[in-house]
Amino acid sequence: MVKVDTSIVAIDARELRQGYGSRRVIEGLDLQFGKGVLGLLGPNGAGKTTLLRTLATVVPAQSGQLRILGSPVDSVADARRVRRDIGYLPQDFGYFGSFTVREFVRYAAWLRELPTADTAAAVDDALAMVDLSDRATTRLKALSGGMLRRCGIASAIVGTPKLVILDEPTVGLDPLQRMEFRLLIRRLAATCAVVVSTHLVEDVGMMCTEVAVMVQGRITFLDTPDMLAAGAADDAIGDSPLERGYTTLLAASGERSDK
Amino acid sequence: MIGILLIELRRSPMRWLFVPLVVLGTVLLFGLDREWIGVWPQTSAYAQRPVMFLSAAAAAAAAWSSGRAARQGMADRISASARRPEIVEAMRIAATGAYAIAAYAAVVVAAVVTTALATDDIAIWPSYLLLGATTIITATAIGDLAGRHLHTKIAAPIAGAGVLVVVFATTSQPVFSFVVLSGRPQVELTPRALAARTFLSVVAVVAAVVWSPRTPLSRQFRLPAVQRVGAALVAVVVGGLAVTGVAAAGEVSRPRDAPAEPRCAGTNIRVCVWPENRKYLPHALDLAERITAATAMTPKPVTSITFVEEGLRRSPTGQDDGFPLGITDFSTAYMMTLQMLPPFGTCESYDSPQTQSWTEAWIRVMDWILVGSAGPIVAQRLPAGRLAAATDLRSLAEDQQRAAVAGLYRILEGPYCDA
Repeated sequence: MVKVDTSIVAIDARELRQGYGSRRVIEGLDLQFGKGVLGLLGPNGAGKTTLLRTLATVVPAQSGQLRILGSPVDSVADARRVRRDIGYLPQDFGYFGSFTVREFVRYAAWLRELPTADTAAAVDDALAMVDLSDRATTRLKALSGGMLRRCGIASAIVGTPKLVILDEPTVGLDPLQRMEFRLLIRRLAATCAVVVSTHLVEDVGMMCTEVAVMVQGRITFLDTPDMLAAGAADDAIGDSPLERGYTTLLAASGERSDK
Repeated sequence: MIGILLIELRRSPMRWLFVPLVVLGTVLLFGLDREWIGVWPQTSAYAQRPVMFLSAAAAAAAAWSSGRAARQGMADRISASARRPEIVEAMRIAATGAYAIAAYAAVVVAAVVTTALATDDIAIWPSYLLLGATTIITATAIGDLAGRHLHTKIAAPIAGAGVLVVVFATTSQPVFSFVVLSGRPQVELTPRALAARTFLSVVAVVAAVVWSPRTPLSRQFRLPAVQRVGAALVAVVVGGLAVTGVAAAGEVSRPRDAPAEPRCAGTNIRVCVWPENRKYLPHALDLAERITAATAMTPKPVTSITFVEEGLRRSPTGQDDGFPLGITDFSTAYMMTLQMLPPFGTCESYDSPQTQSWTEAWIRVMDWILVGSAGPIVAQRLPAGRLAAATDLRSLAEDQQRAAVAGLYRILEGPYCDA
């Protein structure tokens, strides 16, 4: 069952419901997560992005209870307060092409209301963590896809937020960059809670302390990656025990693994 | 905050427009007319004239800037940030407005320095400069609103053209004008009109900052219906007050009281002008002396008279018979001559032979004085037929001229109306 670090409960969601209009995307979801790295796996359309947007307070839950970093999120004021401690990188993050890398990260720090006195050092640290210090003055429109993604990650982690939410952060990164990214996430996890959505099961195995599998708006599994691998059926599809555990879980949920 | 403002300044489209706008403003200032140089109210008003273009450019740039967040996928991120979106928007408006105001300030400085070098004092009329500033700020806010709500790039030319058309079209409207073309010392801007325009600009900025477009995200954490209705009502009332306030404030300018001590020159032939127009005094006196000298051949030579500029006194009939300055020498000389001739009467009918004869004599004397005294440039402003008749009269021998003019004066001594 879920291990909650009682010293800090980053996410405490109970009976969460979310949707767009009459379409229900998240149905009665419960999730408690403390420290470490939580990997969010699930087929397309499972509701991962909607869940992350809800956790990042981008959209309010339709019903249920949500506490982020110990604070309720019931109003705009609540949301603004907790956003100061949330670093969020959307799946398709927008950016002003005319910004330089440094300006973009600085802008993100400003949007998070980081104290002005700390901003310059925080921006430098964030750029160093994603290995973009030498590109600080490059315009975003001149960056490659991978560099742009790293810049987005820098904008999410600037100022070391208490909760970092990353939606498909490794898309566009080459294998070496992905390895570096995993190291970065593990380093971040020493000081904050990290939630990462991904389709890459091997990323989960390498960097996550916990993994949640989402199917049709519900979390059907929440435990360590080892426990997910341990549940693999003998005839399951996959190149690794973790992949086989994942596909076994999807099959049990009536989902195809290739979705 | 300053750092973010600097970032917004660096990426504002106004950074490309800034130098062309300063050049355009300066060309408009110096290229069309230079009568304003040396006259402080005119200097202040003329410095404000380029606002017609500056405000349109500011509106277009603001629309471009504010729509960029939505076009480039940043709107969600901004509205979901800890920073209040109003502050984010305010930074953007401030960057656009700062460029427009800076361009305006550059033109103002050029005008002020030019007039300061031509006069012995510095007496800027801040009301004209404030009027220009409020127009720029209002236009910037309107452009920002258009950009945020339309999102498309086409919002920029729409906002720019819209502001240009409105500002141009209202320039000649005494109540709804946002730019004035002239700063004659006889008039001044009314505090009420200025206050109304200032209020309008503040309301426009607040609306631009607060009024976010409706998106799925904007519906997050909505206020209760009662509060939303209340906020909408307040917005409608304040917005309505701001717009109707401009109308209720009345005409943007009003006549000034005549100064207790106008600037005068001359002894027997004396000319008085508004203190602000003192640069015209030597030329006006010269014109007055030539015009009065031309009456030497008439039965009633003018040897002592005080000509006054318009707005300084009223004639016995309540008319302002003062001469204008800074328009053309013809209008100045014409009105000076008018002060020397007998006034028109008031009749039941103006079609009688007597009235027509009197009027014709009056015109011939007037033209004869102008052609003989005010110089060829002035004379050539007369209609061709009248110029030819007056020139023919002037070409006669002096005795013949005296006799002819005496005849005309005899008619003028008679009644204006038919008995």
